Amino acid sequence: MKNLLRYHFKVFLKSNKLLVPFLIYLFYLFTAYGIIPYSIVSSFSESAWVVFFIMTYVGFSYTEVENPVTEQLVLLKVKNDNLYYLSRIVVLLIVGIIMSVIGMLYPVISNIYNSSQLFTRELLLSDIMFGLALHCMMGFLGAMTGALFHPRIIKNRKIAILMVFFAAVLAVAKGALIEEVPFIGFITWIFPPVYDILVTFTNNEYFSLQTIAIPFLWGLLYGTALMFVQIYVLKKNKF
Amino acid sequence: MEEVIISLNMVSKHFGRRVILDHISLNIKRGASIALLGPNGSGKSTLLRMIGGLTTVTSGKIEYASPLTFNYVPEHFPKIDLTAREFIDSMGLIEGLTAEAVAARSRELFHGFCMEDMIDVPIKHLSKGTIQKVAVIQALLQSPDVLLLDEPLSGQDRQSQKAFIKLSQTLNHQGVTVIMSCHEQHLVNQLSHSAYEIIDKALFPVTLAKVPEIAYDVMVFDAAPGINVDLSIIDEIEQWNDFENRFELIVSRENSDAVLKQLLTDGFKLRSMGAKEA
Repeated sequence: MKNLLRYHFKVFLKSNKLLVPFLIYLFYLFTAYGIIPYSIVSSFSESAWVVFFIMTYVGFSYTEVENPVTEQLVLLKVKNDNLYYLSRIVVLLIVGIIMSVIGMLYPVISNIYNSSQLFTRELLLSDIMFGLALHCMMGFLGAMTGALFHPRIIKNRKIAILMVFFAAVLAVAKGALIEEVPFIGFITWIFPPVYDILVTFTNNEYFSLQTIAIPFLWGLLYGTALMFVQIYVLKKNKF
Repeated sequence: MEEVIISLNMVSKHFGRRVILDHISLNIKRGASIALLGPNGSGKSTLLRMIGGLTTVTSGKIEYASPLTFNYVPEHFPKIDLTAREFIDSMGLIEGLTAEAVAARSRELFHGFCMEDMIDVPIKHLSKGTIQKVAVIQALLQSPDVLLLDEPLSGQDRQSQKAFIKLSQTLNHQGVTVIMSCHEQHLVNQLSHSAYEIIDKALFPVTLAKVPEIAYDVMVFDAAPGINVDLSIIDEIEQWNDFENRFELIVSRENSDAVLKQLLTDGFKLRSMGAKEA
């Protein structure tokens, strides 16, 4: 696994597909925390769904980084398809965690720099822990959503781009859509539960285990389901 | 009696409505060296990848006597960003070799294939022949149970061809099963114990005695940029190795006069010519 991860990171880093997402996120953080004071829960929630969008893009672009020929060579050398596909998911998880840590470090450092005036109230350790968990969860959901539209799952790449865009937008916008057209709720559950998670924090001043536990587990379950579907279909749709 | 390690039973492969291979049966014994012949697009590569489990079968069954390890030389290795050293090191480590073993084996292979000066160049910047050497080297780092070779000599210079043939023969003598698709009959004669030809989606045995012993000539030409080979003689050229503005051609002796005449007419400059060693 260690050697596989090293190989994947070498391929990913040399493709230069990671730089732009990180720069976009840094740009977002720089502008989002430019106006003070800010509510902790709402600013962390917003930053988390930005991580979801960016990781959807990272997950999607990563599916196109590994060439199908080298992928076949590596699969033969690993001799374990599950391990190979899992290692690719771990790469995305690591990228998501790094992005989440940046997403938390930036406001924490900025708050210290602004003499604890960045937020409307004092920043607690629990805010940082819950915020980090929320970012990581959104990163995982985004990565799994993007990675699902693999070239071997959706061969037509133009349709894949449209589908991933549609899925990412509806994951956040489904709440507004349900308000307008209530019966659409029967279908929108199929999209990643980004709205469902974020809505539980609306108007909350503090994160709490009671409010975050169920949405967090739901997101984890949904992301894990996407992960298993992806591995199953990739093993079925060979080269 | 040698053990059958792979058994293909009435295997078919379709891509959509297109039938690529139809009801193919073949028993592959441990230590065998099999050549798959047939024109481009006849399904040789697909059959190799089916044997390696890299593509699914539409119908029929492939049975393996035990879990087997495969190494594979693809026909077209991609132009990737990693250097040859980075790629080969990664493959060796993923295969389970120690860092020391990878370093020693890759040094030996890079030397054997005359590419020591190019190991730190990104693969995407290497010539077609050198990229093919990387494809071959990654498959020879360790002895697998089965070595799948898809047009392994494509674009390689003569010294690398010799090194490859020698290494493949050594592996085969050590009990590695070699299954190879190729066009070069001299390679079939040197490497294979048995040969099969794919004709009209079905597999037919070819007795090696019937694979004619063909004498080849090797010609080396210089060409100014922009000069192209006349398409009428493309089919007569068995192998074409490109070294920027210098070309090495392997042509069956019966066609060499016609090829030479056409290339000289087209403005190519002959630099050397001689009989190809067996």
